[in-house]
Amino acid sequence: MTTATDTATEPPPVLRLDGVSHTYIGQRRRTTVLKNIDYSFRRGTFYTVLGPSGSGKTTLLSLASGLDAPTRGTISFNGQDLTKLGLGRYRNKHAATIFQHYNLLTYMTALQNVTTAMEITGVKPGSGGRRARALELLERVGLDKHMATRNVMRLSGGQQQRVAITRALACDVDILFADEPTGNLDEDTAQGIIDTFRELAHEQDKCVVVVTHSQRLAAQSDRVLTLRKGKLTE
Amino acid sequence: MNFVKRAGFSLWSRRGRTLITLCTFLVISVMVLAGVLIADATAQAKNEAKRSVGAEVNLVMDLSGQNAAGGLMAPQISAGTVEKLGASTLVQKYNYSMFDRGVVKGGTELVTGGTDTAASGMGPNGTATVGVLDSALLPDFRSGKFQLLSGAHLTAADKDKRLLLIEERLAGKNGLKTGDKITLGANEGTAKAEFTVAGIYRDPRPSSEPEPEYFVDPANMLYASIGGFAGLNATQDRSLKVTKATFLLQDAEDLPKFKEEAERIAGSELDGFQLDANDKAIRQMTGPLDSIGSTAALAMWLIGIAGAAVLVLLVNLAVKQRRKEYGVLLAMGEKKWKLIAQQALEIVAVAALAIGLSSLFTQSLTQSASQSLLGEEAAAARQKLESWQPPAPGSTGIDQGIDPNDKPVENADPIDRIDIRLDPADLATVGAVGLGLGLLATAVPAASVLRLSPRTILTKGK
Repeated sequence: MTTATDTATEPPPVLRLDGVSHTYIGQRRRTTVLKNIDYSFRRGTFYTVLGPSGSGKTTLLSLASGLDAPTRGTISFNGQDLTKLGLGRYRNKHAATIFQHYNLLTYMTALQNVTTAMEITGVKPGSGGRRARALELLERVGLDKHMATRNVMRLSGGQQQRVAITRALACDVDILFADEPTGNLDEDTAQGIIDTFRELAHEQDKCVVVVTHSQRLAAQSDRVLTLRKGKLTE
Repeated sequence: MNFVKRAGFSLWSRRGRTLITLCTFLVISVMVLAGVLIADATAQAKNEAKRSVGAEVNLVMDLSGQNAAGGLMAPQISAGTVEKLGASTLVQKYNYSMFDRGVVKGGTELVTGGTDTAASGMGPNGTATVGVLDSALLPDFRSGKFQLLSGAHLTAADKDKRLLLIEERLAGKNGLKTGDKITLGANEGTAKAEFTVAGIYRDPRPSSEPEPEYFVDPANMLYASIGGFAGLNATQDRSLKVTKATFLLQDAEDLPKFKEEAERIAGSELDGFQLDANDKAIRQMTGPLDSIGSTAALAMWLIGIAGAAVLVLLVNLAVKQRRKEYGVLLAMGEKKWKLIAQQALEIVAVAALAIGLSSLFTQSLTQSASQSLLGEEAAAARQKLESWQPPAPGSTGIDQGIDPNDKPVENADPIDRIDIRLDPADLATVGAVGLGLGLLATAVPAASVLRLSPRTILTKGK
């Protein structure tokens, strides 16, 4: 049985999983990777999800971020069922995902990737405009203006990872999901990203959920969840 | 409208693919546009040919029917029936005529300029005389080949008078002028009557070249007011019979309708006749057009379809290669219609550029290509017409394998030039084809990708 963590002192849940199961239907067999998961993610908290390869961490992230719908159970944002809210609207206004394989738009520069995400998610331009805000965020992850205006395919894997992170950070969302975000980064940059996640959670009251194998990253999170045999435990 | 900006980024960033798509579209645009332009120009030239030939229906002897019946007796139809046909609202003007031998008497001498008059079978002082309702409507006068030098044409008002039009050489030989009298004897019997010279005309053919229909010296051809001339040869049946009739219609488009009406009104009286709507002249003039029109249409369809297939494959491939991009954009919450709009916009932008480019040079390219093709076709057609030899005088030519129906129509030279003009409607046609192709090529594969969830799109194949 998974553990629910609602207590009176904690903030209200921003994202709630109720009886969530997910089964992949192959040509010969059905594989259930998540089994009847109940869990509430709260604002202002930095979560890490650990688990062996194939345990369903990425599937959990995909369902929670609205990229797919569970085969059973409900996921609700601020008390509203995602299927009623609309997965597209949820992804557009409330959740952002940093993918393990970056998934950048390869025909654009780093800067254009970030500003495009800001435009799609409707981030207000602000006083300096979206471009200035994007350049500032890219600078924070170590990508100067010269790098920012290069096509992403001409950047290294680590630099592309930082563009992917910046793109998610630039979208002013309630929940940030990340799948192995620091896997390709050097120690200093990885630490910078972890600090950014902590700052987002603690200072901007966001909910940050990171799937990782890194014990170092997990050690700096507020809550460590483990996914094993389709069950989520804390 | 960020999808517009994305489309711009995509086109610029994938310049190689954009260029290939542009070239493919350009080929399709040029071929389709050229086909449309040639089709328009040939249709225009055909209409002009119809207009120049005139919306004319000739009621003439059906040679093939006569041959099949084993004889060459000229069929006749009553003038009354022809007048009923002429009263149709579809008819602007009409004319009819009959032919018989007339014998000049009273000292008038025929021109003897080298034509073997024996071959005509007209006998001494006999010549071909055509009784006509309205001489101005005879094809040779209408075409300008014959020229009225003095006097006036024979008209319907003169129908029952005894008037003649004579050729200037006959007039010169006999010192005749307008208003003078000529005595004409009947083909059979002793009947004769005085005819007044109503006009003198010029036939440019030399005396040595026999008139092809009656085999007489062209200088001796007589045209008489039909009622007066028919009265000279009157039999017991007093009703006027004619052997030819011509109807000038209000509109060339009414030809089929008039044919139906004529068959309904005249019924069995049309036996032995055919209603020749100048099809032969039009066919002779437009034969080369049909030939290049069909070649152009074939090339247009073949290259157009092949190009369209390549284009559809290119776009299809591009859409499938961009599935990850779709997945990423959907993961950000982008709307599906905006993704399709972006893809469609990219195609439309390339198509518009290709169509714009094609409009710059396709007109001149098509003009020169069609001119070259048409010139060859027209030259070949002209050579074929010029090589036709009439049968020997006195012979129908049938026994020599000469089909009288193959005789070239005069004043109906094969068209050897068309004017290619590009107008907005042509561009709109090509634009619609390009747009339709592009949108179809985009929508089908895009729809197949976008029905999936972003996660499936992003993870499929990994």
